[in-house]
Amino acid sequence: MSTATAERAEPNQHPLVGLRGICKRYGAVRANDDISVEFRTGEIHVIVGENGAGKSTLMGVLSGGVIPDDGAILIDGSEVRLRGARDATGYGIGMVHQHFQLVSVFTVAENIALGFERRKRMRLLDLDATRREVRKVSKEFGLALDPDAVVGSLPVGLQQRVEIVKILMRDPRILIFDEPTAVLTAEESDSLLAILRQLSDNGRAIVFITHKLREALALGDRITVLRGGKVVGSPDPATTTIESLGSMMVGRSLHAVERAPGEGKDATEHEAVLSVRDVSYASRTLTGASVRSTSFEVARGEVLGIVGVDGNGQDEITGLVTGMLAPDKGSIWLHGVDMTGRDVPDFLRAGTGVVPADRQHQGLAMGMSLARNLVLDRRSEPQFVRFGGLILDDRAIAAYAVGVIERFDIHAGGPLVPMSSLSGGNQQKVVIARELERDISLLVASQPTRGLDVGSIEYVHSRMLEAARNGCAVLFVTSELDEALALSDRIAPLYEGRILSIEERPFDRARIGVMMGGG
Amino acid sequence: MPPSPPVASRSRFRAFLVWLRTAHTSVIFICSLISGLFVGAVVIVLTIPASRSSWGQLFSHPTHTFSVTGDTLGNAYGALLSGAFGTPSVFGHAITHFSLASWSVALSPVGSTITTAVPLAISGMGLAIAYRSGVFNIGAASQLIGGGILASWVGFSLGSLPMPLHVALGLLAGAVGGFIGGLVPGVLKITTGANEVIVGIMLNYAMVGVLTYLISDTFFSELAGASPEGRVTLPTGSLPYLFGSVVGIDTGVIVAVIALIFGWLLLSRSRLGFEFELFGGSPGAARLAGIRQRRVFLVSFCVSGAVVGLAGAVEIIGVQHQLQSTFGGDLGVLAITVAFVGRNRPLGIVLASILYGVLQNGGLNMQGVAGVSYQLSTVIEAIIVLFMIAPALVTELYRLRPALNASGALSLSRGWGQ
Repeated sequence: MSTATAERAEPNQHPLVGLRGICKRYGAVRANDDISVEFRTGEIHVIVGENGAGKSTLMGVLSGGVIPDDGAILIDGSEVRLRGARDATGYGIGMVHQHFQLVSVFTVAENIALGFERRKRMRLLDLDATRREVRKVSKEFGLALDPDAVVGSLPVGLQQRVEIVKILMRDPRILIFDEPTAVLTAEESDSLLAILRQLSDNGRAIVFITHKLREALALGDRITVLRGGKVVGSPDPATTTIESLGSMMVGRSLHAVERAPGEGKDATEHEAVLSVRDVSYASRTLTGASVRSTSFEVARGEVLGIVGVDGNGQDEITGLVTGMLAPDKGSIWLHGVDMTGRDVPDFLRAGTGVVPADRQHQGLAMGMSLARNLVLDRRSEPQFVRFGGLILDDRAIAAYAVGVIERFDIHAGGPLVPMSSLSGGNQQKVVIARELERDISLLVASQPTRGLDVGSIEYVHSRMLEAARNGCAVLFVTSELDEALALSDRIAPLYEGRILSIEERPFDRARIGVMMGGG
Repeated sequence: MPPSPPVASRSRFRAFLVWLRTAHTSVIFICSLISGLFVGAVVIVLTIPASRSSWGQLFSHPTHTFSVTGDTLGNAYGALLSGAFGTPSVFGHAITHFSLASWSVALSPVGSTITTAVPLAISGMGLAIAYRSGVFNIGAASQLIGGGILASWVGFSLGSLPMPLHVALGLLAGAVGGFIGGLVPGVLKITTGANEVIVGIMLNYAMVGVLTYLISDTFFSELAGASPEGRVTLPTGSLPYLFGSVVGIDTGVIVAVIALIFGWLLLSRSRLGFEFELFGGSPGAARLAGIRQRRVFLVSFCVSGAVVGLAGAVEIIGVQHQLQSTFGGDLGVLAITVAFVGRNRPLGIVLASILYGVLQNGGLNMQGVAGVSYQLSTVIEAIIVLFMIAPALVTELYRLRPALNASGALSLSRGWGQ
């Protein structure tokens, strides 16, 4: 990822927005514990922290959505009270959320008008005025947008642009971006970061939340690290390393998990566990992608990383190799047996373990207890049932869960707590623990570290590599190039439903990045 | 040093008060009840001529207004309670003149309440099984009628069988009838994709037609005409009374208890119930866990229908003893409400069905004794449901604090049946 321009205008030292002693509690949890930060005009201020560190809560306070229990918000030096997003907008605070707040069936202009509708005579909606304004602001900031395009049909990068223009039209003095590059390609990220640079140079304050340490260091003029609801440091981006930043975030020293170059080399000589032959799948939904004539193989003990930007067919490929989807053309083989057209239970029985991309809706039953979630796909096994398989042996299941919690270091109240009470990282640990505890020969992991904090990422990576060392074939799909580079024996860049090539070590980072973008 | 008891109990009391002010399900239920009764009170005051006219004198004789209002309300709601539970004076008589007869009379209202509650509890539990699985079983009426028809058939034939066997077969026939009522929409959904709500509603209508036809034109018929009646269940096929016919509680109560225990076991403890909950609560995860979705859907529908059919059987061979053209309609709708208000949990269903038993029987008494229209109890029931559907409204109105779930995040109200 290229960095922004080297020369920067001298930032105005006048603090535009100050948060002083912000405290917010949710029950017994102190989401924000006496946090004080300042945001200045002309500066890009990056906030980094693990999930649960309090970043979202803090930004909620700043954007008016969350009312703090204690502390003050100062704008231009005087204290203000924000009672909602409207108030915040009135003070010139604009936020682009990680999960876009757009109506996909509305046009760009309609989305932007929502909540701030312009009216003409007789209180009729004046959409034309909004459309004109959208064009004007687009031009002014170089963010090309067609006001009449239906938002649902736009690529993610443009959807984000709609959110940005939406905010710019309210003339904000401080813009907050929550994990904006999570869904962008490398190119789109670069252009976004250039836009941010331009906006800050024009006298606005930019606040940028990210968990990508590399980005934080490249972009930020100032960095604030949050951990456990407190500010634990404000390192200077010019002199900090990624390792030290990561350690500050986690509170202990981290070591990168990487596949040793020698490992897995002879794995490819083994017989393929999973063989995908010339598979095509036409998308059935408006927003889905298609898979075109794709072929690849994963052998015992090998790690194959499919890398691409979200929406290029990853979910479809994951669905196809797990039996959720049936290919239109081509075949899928497991252990030399043709599994094409078979359903999920057959794939599971053939030794496939799945860590799905959407852990909350596909990987876990959020309303159930931790213990029950650990036996989701093992509910027929004799050690978990009684009376001839009719009644669940809850006591045995709970005892088993206690063992798993210990072995996998899952932070939870106990085996019977509801899944929803665990953090994202621990939820993912449950999914991984469940699959690894089964007798599997193929692990399919889709976006396994998405939304996880640095510590959990390290853990997931080490478990995946351990599985490979134990002879499991590992197929993992990710949008993080660095993750693929670190873990894979071979990398398969994916673009528009097609695997462009199978790259071997040593990997050419730039080349793969280009292929991800379609080049 | 351990805290002294007064301190501990004070803080526990305070904790209870805090609990009372937070939007837990039970608190919402209590508030909905209060709202319902309040609206009912307003309607009562306005419909009884004496109290209505007294409000015209609010500013000239305020004490008169309030005393008349108080009298009217006391009269009406007193009638409600005595219709549902019994009159204190009759109990007093029963205590002083202890005999079977006097106690039977005293307990008769309670008996009616329980008799009303029983089929509601059974069918509510049956529906809860479906709803927890994410299956929208709206065909409760058709399952009740189907069960009632088959149970009645067994009940008025097979006279040579001894009683326990005859009754057991009648109940079994009811379950089969309900099972078929669940099978139809279930199979149609999994083979053709037909919407089970629409099929269920249509089947309700269809079954009413079948019922009317059977009791008018076939061997089922006892009395044809404008209000046809079916043949009467034989004594050997009827559910026996537990405490005599005056009290009126039949062994259907035992069936209800068994059904509720069965429902609880199935949903909370069994492997099949695990699959139901998974399918209903997390359909995405269910697929990846290897659940055969069509199979689970159909099984859930059929089990649900069977339990509802059992309720139909209990009502026919235990209470009404013969089919009538109006059978099943009201009960079908009320069962859905009971399942909903009871939040699809066995305990909640018991409480909800007793509540409805109270309102129905008490309502009849209110009409007879206090001159308040019986429809008012329907109004109160409806208001309660209205508020239970909208916990956010109750939270606002009663200034409750939003409930926090285990992770400390806001507990948002889930959708239908959750």
